[in-house]
Amino acid sequence: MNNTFTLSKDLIDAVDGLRRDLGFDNVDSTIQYLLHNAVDRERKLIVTRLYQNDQKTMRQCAELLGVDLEEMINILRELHVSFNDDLAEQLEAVKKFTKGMQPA
Amino acid sequence: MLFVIDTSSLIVLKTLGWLNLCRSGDNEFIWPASVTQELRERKDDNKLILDLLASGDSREERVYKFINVGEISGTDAEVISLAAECNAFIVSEDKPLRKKAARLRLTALSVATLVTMLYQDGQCAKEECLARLRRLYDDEFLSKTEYHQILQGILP
Repeated sequence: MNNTFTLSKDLIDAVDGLRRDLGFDNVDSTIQYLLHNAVDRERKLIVTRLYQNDQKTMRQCAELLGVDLEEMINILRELHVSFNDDLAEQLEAVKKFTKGMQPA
Repeated sequence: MLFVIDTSSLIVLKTLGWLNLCRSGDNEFIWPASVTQELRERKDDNKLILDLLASGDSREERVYKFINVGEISGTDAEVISLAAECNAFIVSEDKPLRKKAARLRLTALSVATLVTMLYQDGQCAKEECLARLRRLYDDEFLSKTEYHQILQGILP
């Protein structure tokens, strides 16, 4: 499918600069590569936000991105998403237990 | 102590080469059949986890009573249901799942707080606990702030 887009000269110059660094033969391929990466990253950011806000579990996020759980864990690490931002609650539970209380 | 461990934590333990934590002390690590099923569908390296099952130190448990945990289903719901049924701790790296479990008054830990608990319970030496926490920090399973927050509770 072909679509026509208008890009500013600055942007085309920037893409052309990257084209050389990335080793592409032409600007079209470079734009496709960059766009693919940008879409992929944006999808990951949107889904990890759902995880951060406790709206989706890790498994649900993996399903949304079409990856397995191990890959999802790696995506969260790559984006520096915390695995423990409920740490205070967890430590409180550990403290209660080690004081002799059983789990609820 | 009895722990229901989920796939995410088993993957993290495998990544760190720490599956032997599931063989430590008098602890028992169990998981629902759906976790085993999920692992079987994955790559060859999960043979390690399945070996752990075969060794008899950890085991698969049937879930008899399902708890309706809003918006989650399948394996996630089975992990929470099994923990409720057995009055066990949950070990999961999945923060939203831990929060849902906490709403049901279940205690849910990550690998980092599991390591801390084993130390606080006298099941592992301080040096070992500190080395494991450092590794979790180095491998980005703990942020710098979280790492220091845990250390504050351990170091005098």
